[in-house]
Amino acid sequence: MKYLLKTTLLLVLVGCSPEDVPPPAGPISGGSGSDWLISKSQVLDGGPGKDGIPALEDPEMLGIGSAGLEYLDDEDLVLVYKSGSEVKAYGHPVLDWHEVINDKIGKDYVAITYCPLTGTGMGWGREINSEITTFGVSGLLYETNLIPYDRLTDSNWSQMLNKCVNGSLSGRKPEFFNLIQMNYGALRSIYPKALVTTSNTGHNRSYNQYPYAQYKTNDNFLFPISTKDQRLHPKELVRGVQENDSYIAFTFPLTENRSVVVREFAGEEIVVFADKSTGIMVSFFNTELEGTKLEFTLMNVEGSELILKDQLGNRWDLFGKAKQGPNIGHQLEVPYSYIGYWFSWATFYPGIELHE
Amino acid sequence: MSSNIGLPGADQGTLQVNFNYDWNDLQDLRSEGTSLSDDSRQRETHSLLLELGYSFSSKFSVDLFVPVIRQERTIISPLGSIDFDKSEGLGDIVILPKYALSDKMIIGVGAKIPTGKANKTSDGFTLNADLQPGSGAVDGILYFAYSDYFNSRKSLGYFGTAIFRNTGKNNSYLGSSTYQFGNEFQLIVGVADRFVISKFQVDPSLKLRYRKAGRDFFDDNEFPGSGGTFLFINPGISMVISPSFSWQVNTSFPLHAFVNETQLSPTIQINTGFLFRVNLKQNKIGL
Repeated sequence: MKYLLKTTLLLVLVGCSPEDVPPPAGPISGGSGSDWLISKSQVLDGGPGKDGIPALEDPEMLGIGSAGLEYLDDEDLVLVYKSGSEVKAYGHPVLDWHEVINDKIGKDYVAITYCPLTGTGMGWGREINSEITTFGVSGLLYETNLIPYDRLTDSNWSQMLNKCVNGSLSGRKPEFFNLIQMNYGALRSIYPKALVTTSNTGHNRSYNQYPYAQYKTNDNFLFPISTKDQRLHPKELVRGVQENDSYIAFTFPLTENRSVVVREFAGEEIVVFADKSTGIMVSFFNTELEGTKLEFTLMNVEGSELILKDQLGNRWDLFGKAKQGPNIGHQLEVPYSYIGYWFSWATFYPGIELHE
Repeated sequence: MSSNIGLPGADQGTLQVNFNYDWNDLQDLRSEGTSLSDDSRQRETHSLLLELGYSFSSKFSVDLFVPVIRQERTIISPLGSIDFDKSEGLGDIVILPKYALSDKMIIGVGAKIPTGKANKTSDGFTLNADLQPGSGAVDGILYFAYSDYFNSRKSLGYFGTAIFRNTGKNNSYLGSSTYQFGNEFQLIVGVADRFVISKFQVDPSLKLRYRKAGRDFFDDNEFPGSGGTFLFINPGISMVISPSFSWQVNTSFPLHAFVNETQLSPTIQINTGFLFRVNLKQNKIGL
């Protein structure tokens, strides 16, 4: 019947100008105006259109081993957020299809944003102008990276620039939540009580099928980028760190499985822990405790959230928190940093320093 | 659009004018061979198709195919709002010289000329390639058609058409990038009969259409979510209104679809219009 009605309507329209067909409302990027903080010519229509990639709201999260998590293999990556004792994990196979998950973790209203084209994932606060809102997928890309929009003001935000680039909130930075990326096998060992996004999202998608063919490993780009840096394979995962106007990218260690790097960066000392087998790489700024500059060494305890120890006897977890020792509860400062494909850090921040 | 190419053979000096409206609706979001039962996306193409054919001799003719295209994309968000984008304008013109090898077989070699714009914008953003009215590239076209009738029933004919489109490259996609749609092959086989109903000749037809589209290429790299294999059933009917004038309507429904990765797949296609014939040499109208 639906087709019959539509067909009848269309037959009536035969001979009319196509312009006579009345369009529903709504242009490509909503009603956010035309002023952009970035070059509009570099903002591209990704193809699916606004909300063509449906963001998730308050998705079903169940404990490891539950039905609905069969889509995850141990090698699949997840993004992990911890609030108090609550740990939630968001699988890349779901994020590949939805890109934004609006959730509440502990007391935090967070939008998990993930761009499958740049491999970048981060959490953004959902409280804007004292109101809780959600983010959706605008369908636009800047430097082949996700542009979410907020549903309170319809403003567009660049994920990797970490700020609003169009609309009434232009220039505003979102509250940044540090997410830890690891594979599902590591999550099962380290946080066995974590809640994980299930495949019961309300959308029928093939979560066990990667939607971009060989993109994850080949050297192709789906949309033009302004800078190509050949120092690494474009899809090699690195952890980029930004401090003021300084940028640096860290690679996973080539030889050993686990490593800790301590080095000067932007006038501060940065500590980077990496574990190749679990896909974990985290970074913190070093600090002085009790007048002593901390010296970190690896803790070789597989399947534990404790990764580093210092000369004072503290044991530090993945999120940079002292879980044991004389300074228990102390939180190391976490820089603005996240994991992504090398090409994405290199094109957003040309000339970025590379620590291999 | 390729399936609409190719007018039937005609006597020397005959000008054929075929004017059609074509609606192609894509709503079936598929992951490879599986329908995802998702109603949130729709792509529609509305086309006004003018096809002119002139027979210089009983053997040689040329078809000119001029489309005016309107591309539409509609998204229903999870919260119920609707996002709509469109582009419209002259599409790519096709020129197809044809040669009749016999009264049953016609071959053709032609080209699609990039007369349609391939850099249309919506709200200031350049739309992606499949939402443009033109491709920005020259394509080569090979055409073969065969038709005959059953001896047991002379009005019952059968026919087959094969069309291969070798796509060219748009070298100014999004400024300085390249985009190339995948090569396309179509094979159409069918039968048509003729009845006389209340003074009118009525020709019902039934076709099977196989279409295989290769992957698109962006900057010479395969573009995910493009290309696939399809099988359609196309029932149609043509009515002869006068010796020089006929009206036809054809429909197309998918029987099978397998897409690369995840794509919207065709749901229904309807094509309707008129065919007008005049013999310019004999200065008379005839069918």
